[in-house]
Amino acid sequence: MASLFSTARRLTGNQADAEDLVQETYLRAFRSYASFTAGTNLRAWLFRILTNTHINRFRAKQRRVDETELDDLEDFYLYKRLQDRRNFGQSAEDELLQTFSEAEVVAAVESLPENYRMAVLLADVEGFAYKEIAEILDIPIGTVMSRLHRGRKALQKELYDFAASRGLV
Amino acid sequence: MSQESGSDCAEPTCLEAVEELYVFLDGELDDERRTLIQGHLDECAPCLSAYSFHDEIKRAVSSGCQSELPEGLRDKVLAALESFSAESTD
Repeated sequence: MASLFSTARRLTGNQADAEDLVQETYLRAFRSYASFTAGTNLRAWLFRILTNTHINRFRAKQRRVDETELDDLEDFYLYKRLQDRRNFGQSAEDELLQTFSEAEVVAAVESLPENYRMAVLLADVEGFAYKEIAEILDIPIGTVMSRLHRGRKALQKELYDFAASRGLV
Repeated sequence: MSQESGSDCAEPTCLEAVEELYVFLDGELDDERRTLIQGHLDECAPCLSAYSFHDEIKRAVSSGCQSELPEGLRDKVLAALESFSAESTD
């Protein structure tokens, strides 16, 4: 339940909605338990219910982010910029990474468009395999990979902006 | 992470190593490919540095996004399930 709650918390962005989402996920799972095939992945099944419930329930409230804007971002956004910076004799990129607070990392994740955020959370926080994420979100594996790719680019852009706002880059 | 096709690097090239960075870090490469990339990283400092940088971001996301279960949520959910189950057997 703690793991469902962590994902719910990052999807909804606040404690109260996350608690409601977890509760509704369990109720739906309980109601539809007959549709669960014994021997298949129970954890992935619960996450599938969680993400579907979130989409149905909270999507209306979500601000819409223009996802096409993110397509123009360069790959490895932060890394590349930090490399350029090192070429000017400044400290190594790893040192800068250490200066991000946990709150900044979380804020960067929460800033991601929902589709990308879901993929990143399922892969990096919950450790699901691409195949499992494809089942949970009901999308092809290629789409899982491209959402992860774009989400991670956007995350690096967000972190770069934090560093810039602190005058570090 | 130089973009040259690796005159001083064994196969796979830097470009291939960079393309497979996330698939490697996500543990999704097959054993053979994984061993080849690992061999490249052992020899190529720029690629190794790019890999460890992205691995660190992945770890920071993972540890930062864990939330503790709020006190009382488990009981609240159990109570909701019990009342639902009582209603549906009525």
